[in-house]
Amino acid sequence: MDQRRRELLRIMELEFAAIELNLFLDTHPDEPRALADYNAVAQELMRAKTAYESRYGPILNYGQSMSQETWRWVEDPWPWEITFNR
Amino acid sequence: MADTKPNTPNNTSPQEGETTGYFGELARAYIVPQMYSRIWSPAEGLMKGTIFPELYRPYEPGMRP
Amino acid sequence: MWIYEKKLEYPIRVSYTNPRLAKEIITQYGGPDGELAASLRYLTQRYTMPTPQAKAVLTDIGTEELAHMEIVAALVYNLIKNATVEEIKAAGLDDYYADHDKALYFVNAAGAPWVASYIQSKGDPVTDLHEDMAAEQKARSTYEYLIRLSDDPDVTDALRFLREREIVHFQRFGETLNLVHEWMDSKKVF
Repeated sequence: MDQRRRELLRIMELEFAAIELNLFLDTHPDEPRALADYNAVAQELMRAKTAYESRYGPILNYGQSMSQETWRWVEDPWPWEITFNR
Repeated sequence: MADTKPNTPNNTSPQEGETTGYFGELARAYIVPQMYSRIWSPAEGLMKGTIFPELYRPYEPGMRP
Repeated sequence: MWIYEKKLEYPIRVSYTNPRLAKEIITQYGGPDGELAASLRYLTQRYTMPTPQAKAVLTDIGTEELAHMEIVAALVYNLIKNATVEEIKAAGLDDYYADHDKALYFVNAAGAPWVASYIQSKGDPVTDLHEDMAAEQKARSTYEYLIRLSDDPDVTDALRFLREREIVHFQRFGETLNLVHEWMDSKKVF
C-alpha cells in the first residue's frame, strides 16, 4: 500500500470510530465515557485530515478545507477511483 | 462487557404468567438499550463494521440468524 | 445542507472484472432494500420526528446511507469498468448496457428502476421507526444473499462491512423507538 492510501486508510479508521460514537451518543447523550472517546477521536481525525490535505489537496468542499496555491479539489483520483488492492 | 440483564421500562411491570426474560408492555416493540463498555480500536472497528464487540454478528453463508 | 468528503467510508477492493456480480450488487444501489431507498427514507421521515434525538438519528443514519450508496456504486463501477461487450453479454448485463453503457443507474438486480413506493413516510414516529427497523433487516438479508452469490472475496469483504452496519443501525432505531415511546408516555401524564 502506498503512502497516500495508508494515510487515507487511517482517516477512514478514525472517521468510522467517530461515526459509531456519534450514533451511540444520539441515543445516549448523557454517557460521559462515549463523549470523551468521541472528542478524542475527533481531534485525532482533524489532525490526520490536515496532514493528508497538505499533501493531496482538500478532502472537504464548500470552505471546510483550504487549498494551497492552486485549486486542488478538482484533481483526480476521486474516491471511486481509489481501490485498496493487496 | 455490557450488562446483559433484561431492561424493564420504568412505566411497565411484568406481565402475569411471564416467568423468565424480558418483561415489556404488550403490543409494543422494545430493544434492550446498549450499555457503554469496551470499544475496539478504530482500525479493528473499521474492518469489523462496528467498534462495539457486543454488536458484532459476523455472517457465514449457510447460517440463519 | 451537506458537505462532500472526498473519500469512501470503507476501503474497497475488487479482484477482477465481474459484470455478473455487478448485476447482482446493483440492487443495493437502486433496489427496494438498497442504499438509495434507505437514505431517502430516513432523510424524508426526519421532518416529522417528535424528539430532537429522533431527528438526529434519522439525519445521521440517513447521511451514512448516502456513504453506503457510494460504496456500492464504487464496487459496481470497478467490477464493470474494464468489461468487454462480450463479457457483458455473457454475464447477462447486456439489457442494462443497451440503456446505460457502463454508467451507474438506480435499478434492482432484475433491471427495474427505483421507485418512491419502495419507501414510506407516514408521519407517525412509531410507524416510521418500525419501517426503518424492518428496512435494516431487509437490507441485512439482501447482503447475506449477495455474500452467498459473491465469488470475489474482496467484494465479499465490503459486503460484510455493509451488512454489519445494518445490525448497528437496527439497534439505534430500536433505542430511538424506546425513547419515542417514553416521550409519548411523558405526554400522557400532563
